[in-house]
Amino acid sequence: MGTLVSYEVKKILKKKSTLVAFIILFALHFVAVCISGSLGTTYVDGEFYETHYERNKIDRANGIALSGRMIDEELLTEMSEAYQKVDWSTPDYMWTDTYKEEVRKYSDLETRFKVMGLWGNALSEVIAEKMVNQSTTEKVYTIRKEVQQQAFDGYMLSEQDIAYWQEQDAEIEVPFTYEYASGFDSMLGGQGIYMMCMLLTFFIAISMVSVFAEEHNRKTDQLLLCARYGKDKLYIAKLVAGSLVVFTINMLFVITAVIGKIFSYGPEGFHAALQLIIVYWYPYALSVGETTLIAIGLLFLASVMVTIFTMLLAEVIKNSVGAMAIVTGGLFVARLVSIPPSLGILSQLWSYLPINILKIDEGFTDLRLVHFFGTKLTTWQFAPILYLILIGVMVWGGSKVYKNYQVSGR
Amino acid sequence: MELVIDRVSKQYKNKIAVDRIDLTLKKGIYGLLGANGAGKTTLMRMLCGILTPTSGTITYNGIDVSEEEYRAILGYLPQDFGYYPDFSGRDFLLYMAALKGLSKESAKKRVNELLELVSLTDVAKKKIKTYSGGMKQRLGIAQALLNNPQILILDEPTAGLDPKERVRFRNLIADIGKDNIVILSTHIVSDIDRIADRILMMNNGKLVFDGTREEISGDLEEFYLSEFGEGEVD
Repeated sequence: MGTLVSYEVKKILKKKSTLVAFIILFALHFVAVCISGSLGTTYVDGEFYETHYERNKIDRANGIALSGRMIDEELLTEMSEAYQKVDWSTPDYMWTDTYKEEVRKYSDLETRFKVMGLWGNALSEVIAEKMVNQSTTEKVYTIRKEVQQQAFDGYMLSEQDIAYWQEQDAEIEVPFTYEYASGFDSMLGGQGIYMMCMLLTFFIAISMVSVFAEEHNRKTDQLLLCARYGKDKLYIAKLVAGSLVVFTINMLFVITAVIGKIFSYGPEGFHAALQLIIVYWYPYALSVGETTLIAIGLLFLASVMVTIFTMLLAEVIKNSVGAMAIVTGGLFVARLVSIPPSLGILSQLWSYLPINILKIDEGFTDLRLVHFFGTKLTTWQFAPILYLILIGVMVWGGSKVYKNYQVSGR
Repeated sequence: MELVIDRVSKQYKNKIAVDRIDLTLKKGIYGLLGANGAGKTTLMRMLCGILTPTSGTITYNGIDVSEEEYRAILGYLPQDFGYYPDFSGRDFLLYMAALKGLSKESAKKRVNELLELVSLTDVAKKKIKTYSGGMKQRLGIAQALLNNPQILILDEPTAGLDPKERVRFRNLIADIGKDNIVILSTHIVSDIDRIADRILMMNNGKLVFDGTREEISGDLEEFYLSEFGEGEVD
């Protein structure tokens, strides 16, 4: 089997389309995922202010200095006092020493407040509000409960499921503790795992459609199918070879992405609460580090699933271009079309599409539970099970099509 | 050693490609003749298990054509022989050897033997896309022989070979046919004339002649033309 797999891998890698797809997509990955955080420059009033790489370094140092502090009244008061020292009406306030010394250090924390839904566009308004209204800390956590309730309603959850989520939510420690975690934020955002999923899908669509289909085009199928292992071991060897190539490319993407994120933002923040970094209302105690590991695991499994789907689709419809169009078109449709929860199971399944579940603030945090052998499973808990079931069904169904292929009409 | 073709038919929508063929083949060389569309390739594909008969069975010593055990003793060279252009000749044969279940060591040995046999040793490391038509054909012959097949099915094996190579190939087949079943379809009647122990002729999916060379008086090509009128020997 090992020899067959190695030859099948060789067949895939020898194809020019595989090489070209890899070069182009890896270049895109390098720019859009690995170094995107450090690319660019900030200009204020047309004048150079700092590069993004420099900005990240300053924010990181400030963020690390603040890490471990509870987001409570004391911190908010401290921030409020600092913010009041800046004259926000001045157009070039960013050039002032007051801003640089007093406020700049809160810039990453400010981003966290935006995630928490507290900070509006004008910070001064919030500061002003704090001066006259209720405790800001109280408001921060009231907002969270309100948005959470909206999510329960939006997903049309049953009372039992809401109770489950409330139980999970009770596990979350509030007030939250701030931790600098921009690297994880970027990895879980649009220029991280989600983007890698997109690029990998393109790679799979281009390089995997021909694994079975090319044997028919080249007319080598008749040699293979009458060879001793041509109907069973070869089928598995092809699936393993395709999955192995994609797994390796996936690994390369992930490793370079991690290096790129560390270069741009640093490695800190594994234990930061997911709620503080991405989805404030999500009622499950997960750190961004855990979420990243889960998402990477899902990315690997999903890429193997999509690989097997693509290879077998081309074999079933006997058309490589058609299969490529279905896979890439499906990717766009999955992102462009949103199915409302009112459409029930269809909407829920939509969240399990790899490109949707790897959008952390969408499919990953979909609150609809799956009741599986007496256990309630969240989307990200059930997805691996679903993917493995689908892989099993596809492998089984595909083998029937492959083995029963009839060489005729040439 | 007995290959039994029992009332085998293959029907497409409105056409019967192979019509109730009954044959029992023992070791020896069988020359298959017939015009274009007579059903030769369809019959050969069914004998290789890559096309399922509409009715009837094919067994070798009781083993059905669909079983791995049957494929293990089969060698096949199709008429339109496919290859991987970016593979070297050696890699292609090693790949086919792995598919045929040869161990790594025996595959290497056998591949070297066959490369020598088909005079491709010097170009074994070159990509197949650089090979001439004759070289590709010899490579195809080599892959069919990898597993020392007990049933060897050859569809137009001498196409593209020069006269010298054809003679070498004929001798090789004659040798293999002593202990195995060889079914040979070719345009070149003289190839069959010289080495076939039994001649099979097909027309419109039916087996219309099954006999030895001795049963045919005079020239085989003339006999064929007299049997089928103006049909092209294919």
